[in-house]
Amino acid sequence: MTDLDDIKYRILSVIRRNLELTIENDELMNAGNLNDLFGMDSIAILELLVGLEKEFNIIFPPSYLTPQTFKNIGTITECISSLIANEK
Amino acid sequence: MSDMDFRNIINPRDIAAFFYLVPLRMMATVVSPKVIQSLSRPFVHLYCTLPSNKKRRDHIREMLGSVFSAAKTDKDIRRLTVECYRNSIYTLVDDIVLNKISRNTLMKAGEIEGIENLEEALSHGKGALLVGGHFTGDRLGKRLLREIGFPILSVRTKSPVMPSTSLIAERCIIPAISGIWDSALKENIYIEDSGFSLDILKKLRGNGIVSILIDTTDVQKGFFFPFLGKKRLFPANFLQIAHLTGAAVLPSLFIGNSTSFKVVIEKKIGLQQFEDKETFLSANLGSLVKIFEAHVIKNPTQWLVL
Repeated sequence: MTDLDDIKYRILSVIRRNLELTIENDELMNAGNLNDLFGMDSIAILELLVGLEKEFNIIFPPSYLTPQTFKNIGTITECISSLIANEK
Repeated sequence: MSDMDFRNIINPRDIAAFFYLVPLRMMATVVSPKVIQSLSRPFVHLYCTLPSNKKRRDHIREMLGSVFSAAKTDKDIRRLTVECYRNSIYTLVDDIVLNKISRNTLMKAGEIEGIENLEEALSHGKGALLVGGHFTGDRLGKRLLREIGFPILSVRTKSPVMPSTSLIAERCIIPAISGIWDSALKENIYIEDSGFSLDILKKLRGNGIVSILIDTTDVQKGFFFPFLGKKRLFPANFLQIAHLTGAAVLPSLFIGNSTSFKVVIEKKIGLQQFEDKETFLSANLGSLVKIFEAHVIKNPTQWLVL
């Protein structure tokens, strides 16, 4: 499993755990917009964010706190891998 | 066909709004705030007694009747009704002169009680949520706090379009009045905008202050509580934000007008902790609703009665 795959897998775990979803991983992975898939409301996005920060031991800087960052698994993965790379 | 298909192009109330938005606002650019406030007094009184505003007066009278029940006579309730309605219209006059009032004048007119509570809350570095209601001194109080180094991000809702709203009101008047409030409050976000919760998070993580008004009529997620003798729906999402961020929650009250107003910031409330999220939200929101109700009962003519 590549580093990116590992990150994606952990993101999916956080989404399913913190947002209490039973959606299949494939569906989450392929969704162009998570909000369209399961209606990520204003609080869900914060619960996801806090969950991701704990999971990856990161803090999203203010510039990353936009709806675009959390649009889909791809955008979240890109953001987190960038933050992890910056910390190394 | 729905009610919305038969809306008027213009309503009588729109004429008063036009007077407010055009001549009065133009005058406010060249005439001092005190003169504007004096000139508007007879018009405010006239507006409040117009037959077309009977529904609004009845709504206010019903609220005051709940607050005072047998403690006041009908005559007193009618007098307080007019006072309450007048106070709410004066806030609109204050809005168009708010940015023209000098810092010195504002400091003389305003009084702050409990600023040490806000300072203590902010000393923990996780920001603060000021929780209150739509009272007369809201925008004045926020301007004063901004002037003394406490800028506030206001969480707002967009004005709903009702069947009674005319087309001119929807397309011109409401956006114009909303623009005046945007200008008065400086930092605003709307719950209808995507990502608004992220803006709140940014503010709190910068150890900033966010204002939440819990008597909003647009509730995304909430709970019913008894309020002035009836059950009313109150929003709960802001408590979840407090839980996730560690931000302090402080009850607040802003009352008065530009000649004299008061800001009260109470001590932060200790949030009761529960494993179940719904119980956490309901229990803590209930405490805040009781505080808000006490504020309304103590200052009934200063509440904008939503």
